[in-house]
Amino acid sequence: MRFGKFVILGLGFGLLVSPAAGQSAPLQERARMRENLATLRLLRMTKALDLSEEQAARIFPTFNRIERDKLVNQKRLSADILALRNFLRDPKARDEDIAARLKSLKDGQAALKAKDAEWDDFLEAQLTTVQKAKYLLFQIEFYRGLADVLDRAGLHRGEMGGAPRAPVRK
Amino acid sequence: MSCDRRRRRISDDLDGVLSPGRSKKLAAHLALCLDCRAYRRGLEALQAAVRSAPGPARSPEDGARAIGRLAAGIREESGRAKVRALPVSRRIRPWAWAGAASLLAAGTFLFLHLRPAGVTEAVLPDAFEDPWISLAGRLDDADVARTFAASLQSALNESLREIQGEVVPFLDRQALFLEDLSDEEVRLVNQELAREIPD
Repeated sequence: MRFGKFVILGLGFGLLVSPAAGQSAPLQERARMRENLATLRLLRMTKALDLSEEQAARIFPTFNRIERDKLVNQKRLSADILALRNFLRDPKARDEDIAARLKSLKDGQAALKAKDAEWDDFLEAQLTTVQKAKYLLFQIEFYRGLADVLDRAGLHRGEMGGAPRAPVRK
Repeated sequence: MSCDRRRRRISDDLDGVLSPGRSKKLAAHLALCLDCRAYRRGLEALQAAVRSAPGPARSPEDGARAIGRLAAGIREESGRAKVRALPVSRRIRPWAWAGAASLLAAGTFLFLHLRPAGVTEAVLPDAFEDPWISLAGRLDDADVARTFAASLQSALNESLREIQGEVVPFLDRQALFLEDLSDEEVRLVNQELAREIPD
């Protein structure tokens, strides 16, 4: 891959060195999963779109910034989901507490969508028409590939939002 | 297939966008057809002329004159090919025609039966191929480029509408799905992701 090492180095400076530091082992592992996904996405996208060096120089910094912003929201989503599960197991949980968590979760989800939209708008302005077409198909392929990864990890249930598994999170 | 359609493919071939299967068929046709060979030479001359033209932008009138000259060149080349062909055809005896037909039949039979299994001709989707074939027959490059870009954009928008139902709900939910994984599941996913990322 033409920019493979450059991509990893870029992400190393942009993402890998900061968020996991000073966290507990499970939190570090969770942060590493998000970073691995971002790295894999950027590597595959660079290859799929056949980005020129000029395009890569414009695109990578924005990718890093948006991914860093998304990490904050992702951590918040993670905490909100855990809290919701705990509330639903607790018969004494108050409706207003559940509602507050639910609102926080939906806000976090909306913030993530806004970041994704910001990224798509930015990227669209950088690509040629053919690259836009390739990006469209790349997104499908990437999430198919992600489904394969989840499958190999024994997690994929055919489709996101399939039958719920028993909560085993600590 | 008519020579007209094959000539569109000659243009594609010179642009390097013809599929390998069609390229082979075209080469077989060119080996037999003097007119199409002459047409190809004309197009090659046209490309060479465009490549060797001076860099600064030319006026539309210059472009029209150049196209007129090149079109005349193609006609002239094509005419010369026919003139040269006549003496050859007169010398050919009827038994030679029969031999050539037999060889052609044997070659076709061998090609159809001995080519590797599973090798199929790459075919572009109609939505991309048809507009391009019709546009490639025109000589105004800027116009062709504009129309082709509009055509591709339209096909892209159509594809986007078609797949939105498939991809967008998936993207909307994947963040929640991933954040809801247990610690052990996260560890397993990381193991698999690490295999996908080169060192």
